[in-house]
Amino acid sequence: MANEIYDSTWWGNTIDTASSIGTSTDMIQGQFNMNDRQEVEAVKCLADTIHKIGLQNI
Amino acid sequence: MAKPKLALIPATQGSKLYSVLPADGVGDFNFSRNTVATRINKDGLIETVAVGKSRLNYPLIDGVVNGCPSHLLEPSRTNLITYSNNFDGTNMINSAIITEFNTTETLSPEGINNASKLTANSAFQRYSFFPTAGDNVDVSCSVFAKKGSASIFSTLIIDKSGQPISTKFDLLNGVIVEGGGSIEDYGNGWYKCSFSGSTSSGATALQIRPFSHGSGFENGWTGSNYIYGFGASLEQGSYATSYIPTSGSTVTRSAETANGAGDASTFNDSEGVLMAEISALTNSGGKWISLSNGSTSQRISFANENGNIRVYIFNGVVIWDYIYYNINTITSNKISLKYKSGDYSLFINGFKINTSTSSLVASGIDSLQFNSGGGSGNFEGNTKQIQYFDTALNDSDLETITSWTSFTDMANGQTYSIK
Repeated sequence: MANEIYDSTWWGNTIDTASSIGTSTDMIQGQFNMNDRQEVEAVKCLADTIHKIGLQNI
Repeated sequence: MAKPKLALIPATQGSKLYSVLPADGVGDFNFSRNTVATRINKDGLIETVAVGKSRLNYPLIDGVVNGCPSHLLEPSRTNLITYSNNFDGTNMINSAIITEFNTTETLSPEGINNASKLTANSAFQRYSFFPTAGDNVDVSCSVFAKKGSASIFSTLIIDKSGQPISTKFDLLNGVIVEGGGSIEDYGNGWYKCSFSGSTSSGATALQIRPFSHGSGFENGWTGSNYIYGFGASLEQGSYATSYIPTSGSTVTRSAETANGAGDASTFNDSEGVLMAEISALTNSGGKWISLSNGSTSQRISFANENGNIRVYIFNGVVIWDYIYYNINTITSNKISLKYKSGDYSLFINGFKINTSTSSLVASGIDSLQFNSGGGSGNFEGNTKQIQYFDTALNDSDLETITSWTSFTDMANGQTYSIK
């Protein structure tokens, strides 16, 4: 189920990668704010890259 | 490792290039393009993008989308073919080819039935277009073609002296069999066939010879042999760009710019790191990315320049000017430039390339630009990511952010096909 959410929805991607971002709430907030400004098309790409950046930051 | 203060990850199209960090949107780039343009969408199809809207362009590997999109920024170009998708229209001559428009036998690279079936009728088959190009200019041709019962396809630019520039493409194996150029797999059997040349006395005709079987560029097929064609372009320039549809007149796609990300509070004059994952469209000219004060008088910048990567840091005097030659800028590279008094360094693809111990720094940095800092030297190419850190990272961190995380990651990032 988690993978289905991860692959198909904006919320799922962001939530699924949230643990890797740790306490960097602005990385989560940044994704939601960006989607508010303009609907995100490459949802998984954005979440995956944030996930990588988050891992570097641990 | 420190967290980036600004991060541009291509994920959406709109009136800006949207940065995910800072979260408040101050890191968005102002985007400009005064015309429509086309892109490869997430389904691998050519799609028109509205005026003023940035483009997410998806990479094709072996004809299918593989990997995340880039922001595509291109220069202004004009398609000199007046009916780009009409192989039997005005301002051209059809010699001995039966043209079936909007064939239902195949979908075009746009995913609809607007390709043409081109069937040999008798000997010496060719379409001749007569675009108006200046003398002594570089010209680039591109045509989409798909194998039918025939599979060898040629294009020729014939200049005023009658001297042809020609390339022959094999649509069965996806290779060039004679001449120079490129053949790109667009999926579903379609190839974008491109080539470029310089004409000493100006191009007067573009010929498409769909049935160039045999030696040379003359026709060899007869009878009912056929192939499929779509979207012809002739541009004045040394390389072909994204498809520019026309329907009755030449059409210009205007230049794209993206500038003005961040403000004075985003950037640290004293130290920081600018990282970009980028590829160039050509090995000529200087295509810059800069931290600046809005002009070139204070700038921390690097560029894809004439097939090399150049660093240029300036605050009234040159702080660091360095060119790295041993690289291919057409493929994607991960570049990091660290700046700090006495501690400058350049990392590319995981390697420390060079350093400087200059004690000088630029000041008044308040924006990140896809140009040389003040409006010229616009970046033209693909951008996979930009990160800005407001602290000077150590070598280990710089190696990490410029490295590929796996062989597959590297291959896909550079659009290599893994066999």
